[in-house]
Amino acid sequence: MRPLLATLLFGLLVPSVALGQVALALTPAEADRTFRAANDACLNQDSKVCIEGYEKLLQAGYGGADLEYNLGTEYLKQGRLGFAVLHLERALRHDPNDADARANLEKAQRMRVDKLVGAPEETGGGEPLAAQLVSRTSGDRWALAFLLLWAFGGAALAARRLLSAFRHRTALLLAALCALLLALPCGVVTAIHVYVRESAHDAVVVVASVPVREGPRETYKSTFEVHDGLKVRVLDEENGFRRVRLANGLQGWVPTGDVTEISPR
Amino acid sequence: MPRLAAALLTGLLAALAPAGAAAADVEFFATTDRDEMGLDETLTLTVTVALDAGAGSEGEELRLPEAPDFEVLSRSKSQQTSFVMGRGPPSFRNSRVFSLILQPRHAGTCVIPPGRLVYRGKTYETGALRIKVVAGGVSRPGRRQPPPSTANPSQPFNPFGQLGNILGGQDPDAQELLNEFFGGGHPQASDSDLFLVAYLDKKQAYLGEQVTLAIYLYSRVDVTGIDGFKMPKLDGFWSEDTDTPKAQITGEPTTYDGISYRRFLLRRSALFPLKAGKLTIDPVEVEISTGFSLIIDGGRKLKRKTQTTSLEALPLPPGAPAAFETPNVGQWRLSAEASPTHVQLGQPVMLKITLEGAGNLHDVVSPRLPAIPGVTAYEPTLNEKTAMTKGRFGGRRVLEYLLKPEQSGAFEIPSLALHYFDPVAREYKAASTQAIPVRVEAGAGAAAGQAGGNRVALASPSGTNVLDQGIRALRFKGDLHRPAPPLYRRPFFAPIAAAPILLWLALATAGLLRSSLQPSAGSIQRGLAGKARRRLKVARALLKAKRPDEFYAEVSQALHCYLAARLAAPVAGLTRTDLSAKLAAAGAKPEIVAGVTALLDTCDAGRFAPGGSTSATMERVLESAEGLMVVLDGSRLAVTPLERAS
Repeated sequence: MRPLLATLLFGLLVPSVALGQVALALTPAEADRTFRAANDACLNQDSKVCIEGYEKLLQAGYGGADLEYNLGTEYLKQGRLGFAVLHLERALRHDPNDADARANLEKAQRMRVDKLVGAPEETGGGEPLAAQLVSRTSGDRWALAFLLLWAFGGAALAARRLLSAFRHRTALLLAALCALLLALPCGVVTAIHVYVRESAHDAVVVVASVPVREGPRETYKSTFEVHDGLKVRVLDEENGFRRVRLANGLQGWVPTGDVTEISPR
Repeated sequence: MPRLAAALLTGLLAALAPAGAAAADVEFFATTDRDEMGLDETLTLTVTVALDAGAGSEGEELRLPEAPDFEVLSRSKSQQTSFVMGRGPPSFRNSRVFSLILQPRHAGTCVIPPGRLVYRGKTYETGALRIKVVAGGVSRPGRRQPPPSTANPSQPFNPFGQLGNILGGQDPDAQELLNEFFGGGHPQASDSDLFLVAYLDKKQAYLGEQVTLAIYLYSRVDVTGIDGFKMPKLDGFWSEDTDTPKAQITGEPTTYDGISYRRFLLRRSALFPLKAGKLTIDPVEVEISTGFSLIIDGGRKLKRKTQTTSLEALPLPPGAPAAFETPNVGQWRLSAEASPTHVQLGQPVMLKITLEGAGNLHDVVSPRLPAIPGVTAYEPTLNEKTAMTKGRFGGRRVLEYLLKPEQSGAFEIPSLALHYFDPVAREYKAASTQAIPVRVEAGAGAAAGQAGGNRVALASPSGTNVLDQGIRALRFKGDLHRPAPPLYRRPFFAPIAAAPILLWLALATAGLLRSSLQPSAGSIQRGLAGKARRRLKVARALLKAKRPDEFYAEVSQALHCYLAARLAAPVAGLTRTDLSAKLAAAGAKPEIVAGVTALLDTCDAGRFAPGGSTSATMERVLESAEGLMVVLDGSRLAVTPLERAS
């Protein structure tokens, strides 16, 4: 019995320790130092060390708008548009109001090789409304607003029902109705966020150039070529290839490793 | 007559006296009127100093013999001028004769050591004199011949001898006039009439602590000017002159050793010891002009020196902080100010650090601004202004830094600290500044890129500073955190969103359960009425089954049940009279009350005498019961709600 118990405990302990080691790879103080050191390397024109520092923080599980912005900006300075767009897009996912990230992203897009003919931005249509809404608003804030208003409205109604002798039952009813009315648009925006994020998988081409094929194999014919920094929509995945769609509607298959999703699943 | 003689003498001198100075012949000798004496007798010591009248007394230092074997009973001095004609051109000589009356302290051989005269760089001494002192008296005192002075063995031939004395020696007025005329008649200031004193306000001081050195001139003669002031090297000190009278010195009356003098402040300096140990301050030398002549500016130029002073410089006590710099001694205050603290990228921030207080401002070491990541700090401009406050040397030093942020974001100008030693409190202290946060905004738009490199461009006219290629700058400070999943994916989102719905469902379920377990009065009534109708159905079945006794019992119970429901009160067990009264009290019409009573009587009769009942009779009874219920359904009865079943 005892050997069995010891084996069981050991079996539980080792993964715990291993998990603990991964989780404690960088303490917040160490992360801050790493960030500053990377900044200094950037100032000293040592781009390699700078990028390595930022990537190290990402691998340790850190993130945030500032880190993604700095990394994207440094990639942009080096002319590596794919990763620049990727990280700047991620920065905007964290903070849609980040003017610096948006400015640098626009700069990167202007530097892009691919100019999409018939793309909504070319025709003046711009992104779909839902996508624009998602990119310009914070899903977490709207979800939180919905949650709070919805919970308050429900609680007010329940309280009204339970407290039959309460003098201000009418006030409770009004408060509940107001909260539920306000919760409604918040819920709609939240639902849009959920839909776009869960259904729409945007990615960025991160290699200098890649042929887009008709099927998920190397043997398929290449119909056109895309270059780094181009934002695509991932529709499907098969056999190590991803079916992507460009903003102008063109579709095709590219190797999975040549495009990186902006929001990993 | 004496005045005529003076006029003749003037003409004679003008022809004979050369323009330059005569040879500086010096006579300096000491004599006694006896060389053997009794213990209780006195001795006269005569010291003679004879110099050329026109030679001046500059550089003269006279020290009369000090005779420890004797007690000085009295002193006197006399002066005379004589005309001398020798190998050189004739000249007048001034002689001063000092007479001291001495009394021996003991018998035996008593020695009078030599007197000393320093004149124009040469030292003259009288010879030592030995006096034999016996216990008793001596019949005849011996007269000692004056030994010649060591510098000038003989006096020049003076054919006119006492011409000066003959002309004016017997006439004090003439003598006075001659003295005034030739500018040598005023008595020369002795060391006791004119001297310098150096004052230090402390005997001990710490390294770097201020000590004040003041040089005063004490005078009992007329001082007409200070012509030369020579400070010593002051080895081991850092000095700052704090008080130097420039144009004119003014004296103040004072006393020194009980004697009245006029005192003149010649210099005041702040000294800061630079090394520990006994530090000597060499004498200060000053050339002083004294006296006045009608024709010749015969004010004497006298040289005087202060005494040698010393100071014990103490090393600083142990316990100095690690960041302490040795020159930082005094009382200091440190402040920092940055402006502006909210800038756009490319705009500079001016940081002003002010150090002020008391101490050696030129030597104190200001704290250096450490490197601030993401900010370029240029070398500061320095502005120093010294000041004397209540006798303490100090002032203010201002360092102005130009800071240029290289990134947008927030940074902090760190706190600076100056560790110093306070010699008054005798402890180490620290003066520090507060940290200053600065916010750097990115600025609007991107300026046109510049060619080459990825260096930070200078601020464009719009004030926006961007990197080359029109790229916004990196962020110096970042909010690093482990990204959390979206709110809607958090484990608490779904439960909270479903909570109101679930709560409503729970409340509804609870209500249903409650109503089923604890029926209300209305439901009880409805239940009873339903039960009554079900009993009528049972009665119809019994009718068909031709079971009259059970039929009538069922009809009776159905009617009772219905009446209990309508009256909301139990009626079982009531007599006909009570039941009729209850129905009447509830507002039932009399014919309804009569009908109910009659029907119940019929049921009772049928139950207890079932033989006389036929199917038709039972049919009519059943119809009557149903009809009564219908009528009562349509009647409004005033009822008391049934009590809930316990």
